[in-house]
Amino acid sequence: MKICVTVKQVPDPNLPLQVDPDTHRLVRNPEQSILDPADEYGIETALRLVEQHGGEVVVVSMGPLAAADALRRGMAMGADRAILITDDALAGSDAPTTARALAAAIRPEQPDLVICAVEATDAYTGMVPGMLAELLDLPQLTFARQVSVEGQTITVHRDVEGGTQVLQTSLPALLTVTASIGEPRYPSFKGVMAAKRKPVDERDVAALGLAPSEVGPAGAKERVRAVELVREEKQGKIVSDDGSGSSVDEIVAFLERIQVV
Amino acid sequence: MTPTREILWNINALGPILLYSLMAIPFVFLAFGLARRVRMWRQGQPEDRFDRLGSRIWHAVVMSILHGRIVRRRNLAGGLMHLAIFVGFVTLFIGTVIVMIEADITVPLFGVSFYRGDFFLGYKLAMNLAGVLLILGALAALYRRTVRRPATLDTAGDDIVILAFLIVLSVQGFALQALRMAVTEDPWGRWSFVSYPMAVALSGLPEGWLRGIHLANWYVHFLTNFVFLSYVAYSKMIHPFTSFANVVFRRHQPRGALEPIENLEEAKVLGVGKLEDFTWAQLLNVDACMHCGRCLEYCPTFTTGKPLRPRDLVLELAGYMADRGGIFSGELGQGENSARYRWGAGPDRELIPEVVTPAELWDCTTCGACMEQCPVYIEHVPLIVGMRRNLVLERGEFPEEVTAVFTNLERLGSPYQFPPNQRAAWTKKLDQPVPEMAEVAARGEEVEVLFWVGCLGSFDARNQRTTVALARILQAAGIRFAILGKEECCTGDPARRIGNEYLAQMMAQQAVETLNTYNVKKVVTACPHCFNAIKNEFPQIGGNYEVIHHSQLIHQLLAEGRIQLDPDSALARGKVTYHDPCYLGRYNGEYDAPRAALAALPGLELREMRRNRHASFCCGGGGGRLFMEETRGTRINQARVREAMDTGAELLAAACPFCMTMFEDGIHGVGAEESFTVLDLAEIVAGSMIAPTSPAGGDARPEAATPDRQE
Amino acid sequence: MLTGRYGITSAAAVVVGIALILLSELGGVHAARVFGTALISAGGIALGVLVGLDQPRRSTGLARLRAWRVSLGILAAAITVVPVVVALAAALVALPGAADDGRGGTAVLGTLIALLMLVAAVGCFVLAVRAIRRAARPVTPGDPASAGEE
Repeated sequence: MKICVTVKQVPDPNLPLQVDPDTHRLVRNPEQSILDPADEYGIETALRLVEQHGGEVVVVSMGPLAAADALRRGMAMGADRAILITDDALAGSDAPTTARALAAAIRPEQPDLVICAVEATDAYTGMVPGMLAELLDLPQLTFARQVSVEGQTITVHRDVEGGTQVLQTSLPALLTVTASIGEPRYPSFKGVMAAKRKPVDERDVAALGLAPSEVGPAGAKERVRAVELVREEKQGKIVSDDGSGSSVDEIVAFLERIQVV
Repeated sequence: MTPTREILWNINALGPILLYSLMAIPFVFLAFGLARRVRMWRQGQPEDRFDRLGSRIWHAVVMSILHGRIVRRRNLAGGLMHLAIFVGFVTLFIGTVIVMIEADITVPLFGVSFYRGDFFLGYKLAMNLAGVLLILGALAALYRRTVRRPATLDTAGDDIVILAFLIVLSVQGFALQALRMAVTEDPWGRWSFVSYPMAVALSGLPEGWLRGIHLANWYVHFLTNFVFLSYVAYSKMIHPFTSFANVVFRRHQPRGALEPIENLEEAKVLGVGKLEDFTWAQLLNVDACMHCGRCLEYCPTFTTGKPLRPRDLVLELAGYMADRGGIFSGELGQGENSARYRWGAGPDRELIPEVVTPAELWDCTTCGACMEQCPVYIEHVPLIVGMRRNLVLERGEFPEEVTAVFTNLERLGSPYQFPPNQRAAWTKKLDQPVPEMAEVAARGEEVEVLFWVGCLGSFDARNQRTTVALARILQAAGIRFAILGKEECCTGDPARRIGNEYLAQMMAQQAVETLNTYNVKKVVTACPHCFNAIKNEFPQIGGNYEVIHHSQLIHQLLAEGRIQLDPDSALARGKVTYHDPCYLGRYNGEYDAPRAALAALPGLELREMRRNRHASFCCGGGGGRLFMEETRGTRINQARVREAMDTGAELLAAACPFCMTMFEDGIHGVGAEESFTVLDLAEIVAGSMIAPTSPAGGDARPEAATPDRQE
Repeated sequence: MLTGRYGITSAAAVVVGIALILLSELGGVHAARVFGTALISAGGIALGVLVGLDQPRRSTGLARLRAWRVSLGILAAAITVVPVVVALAAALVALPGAADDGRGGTAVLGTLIALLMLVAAVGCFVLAVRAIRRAARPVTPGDPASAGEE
């Protein structure tokens, strides 16, 4: 089977984020950017399925040229090849435009399965997978924590309020996976070296058959008006025990005030 | 009458004809067995160990004769036993050569005879003494193997047969001498103090009988010798050759420095995935093992019942090598040895996991106790790290917990998930600011010493207290120092020892570049792992610095009177025990400075643990183990904490952040939080400092003195 | 290889060496002995090295010998100790006859030493035979239990 996994290069969430005050866009320093950890679960899922059933894993990303690093990481984990949608015109695309570009790149691949993360670790919109499914005309199975394929049937388990839902559909389909799917593998050095020789197929807007007016800020239907820092609030309270027992009352009073008890 | 004896007394021409003609046979067997082994070693990777060959051989000879690594204070009984056998055997061998020189060279060629007079008498005395030593030593060894049976000693058929050979050969020698003297009645016979009384006892027998028995014994004695010599190469008796060679070709680089994989990106061999990936010298290592089990005595994994036993690991490799065309040292121990070491399970096994299991490889703390103990300089840790490298670099297989460590190192330069800009967060706890190197350099200033904080000292809440304490000491002593702050990164120690050479080289490279940018000359660190990497591994990539451990600096400051301690300090009272960190002690030989620093506090009574100094017992945190779950056997850190408590001390002095973390956990594990405390040396000293005259030192009772446990 | 040039040279060295020994012992040319010995030793060592460095080969002769290894080992052990046991036992037997020339005490001491050595030799024989038999038992590699321990 052929599996396309959409991935994104994001600023390392462990490092301080910077937002450009004029464009309201994240400052993306390639040095401090990584393959979105959320995407590693998708790649892991794809690799396990291919190990079981045979086939090919293609990682697909949209971003600047430097985003090829994220694709290399995916290939170091074991993906076979990569497609990078890159074009200056694409900078500032919103979720629908991104989905359109990804769909245009994925469609000719005719994959049996498209795997996405639930949402990206930088913007957390979570909109692209649904849009992608619509554009590719695929059934979508979301929030999967367990996946199995038998013949042309795909079965997923997903957590819902109070239990587990088991969904089934026939391939091709689109899937979003959560972190419960299984620990992603750490790429071996051998994998890293092999990834350097694997192909990254670069596509610009023209190659995808999209008009420049459809993409980038021109095609975007949404505008970021402002970006604000979350006000840091003290989340806890330290009560020191002086042995008199009054600290217990103090804690109970505090918990009542914030309506926990 | 000049004392001498007739060589080949009672033997006609047939004797020497048989003796010399048959001599070819033991030589064929011996040479064959050695060549078989050499053939295996040559399959290993190239490595230059032929430098300074003369001094290598000289050192090996001296070590063999003086038994430098065999007779040791902690291995006195076994060592003296070996010494007795060694002296006996070698003396008797030399004696045989002397007789040969007399009978075959000097007399027939030059007509000169020296085997007479005082020399002869001394010779007789020496040979009798040697025989006694050999018999007693071998009997002691038999007693040890059959009756005492220490847990670190496994006995196989070969061991018994060798000892039986040695005893029987000596007894035959004495009997021959006694039988001859019973007939010849030498007036100087008493010099042979063992055989003489037997000769007297035998002298009543008819001469014909004595001559007959002597003749039979003579032939059997030389045949026994030949069988023994032929057997040598297929048993542990090969060790005068293999173990000696191993001492000659031992590694001369600092033991704390692992060999890097040169030119990693182009390297064809990534670690050790098959036997031939070891270097030839490592294959020689494997063949040099004589199963003595000393590597187990202070081994943290053997002692806590884990699958890894360094001796067994080496012998599993030896067995595999034998399966692939080599010879196992102890073919006659086939039953026991094959059961223990999987020898004989076939030549087509995969090195990992069929010869050596991943569990064995991952359990190692790289503490080096095995290498320190090994009498013949076998280096176990490089063998283990080599195989770990293969698992990590080639196969991407390692304990799950390690993934996060690798990812963090790769992205954040530390095993912990903290951003680099928080590295200097601990400085907020000081009254006086700590400059960062970037600021110092920007001002065009220089510092005396760079304080390399290390990842644990920077991010781990418990170890931050040590860092703060050390900074206070440096400030109190008025030392101009700086830290790297967010520019600091891991030295690569954990990654390298876990086997991720790629990541380790990346880290070390980055660290060296930063240090070289600031033209750093001298570094102080509270972390022996950083200390070892900076001292021993950074020079491999062009990083040459003078690096001192904080215990050394503190000792120096105390000695120079640059910091003053309060002898009545509340902290420095009672009994204390000191734990030698492996990477400070065993790997870098520093045992005294920390003890001297503690001695500066007269209120502290130092109680040594049973296992101390070079025979210290690991905390369980080295070799990346700090970041892995301890799933097999019992807890190493708890074993060490119990040992520390057994000294009667209430305070454990540590000198390593890894040890600190392991001991804090171990103290909780044994439930001794109320009665037992672990503090870093720096915390003890800083907590006992008298506020310096300058107001800068400020709070002389730092929080370091009051260990709070909430983390 | 034994058929190669080096092999033939080495074997020839052994043969010439033996000839020199015969010359020395039977012909009375004792100066020849050391040269004979040297040739025999060097030839033997060279033969061993040549075969040892060569590819390992299965030898049916060695395999057959292996099948008899326990019996051969016990036989060798017996041959090794019997003469010395006889000698030491003789010292015990001879004691009454030796005690009358003023060296009685020494003779008793000698008998005692002989007795100790006798015990050591016989003990070694017994232990060695046990070890040889034990080593030959079939075991499963990697299973300490099948070696009858742990």
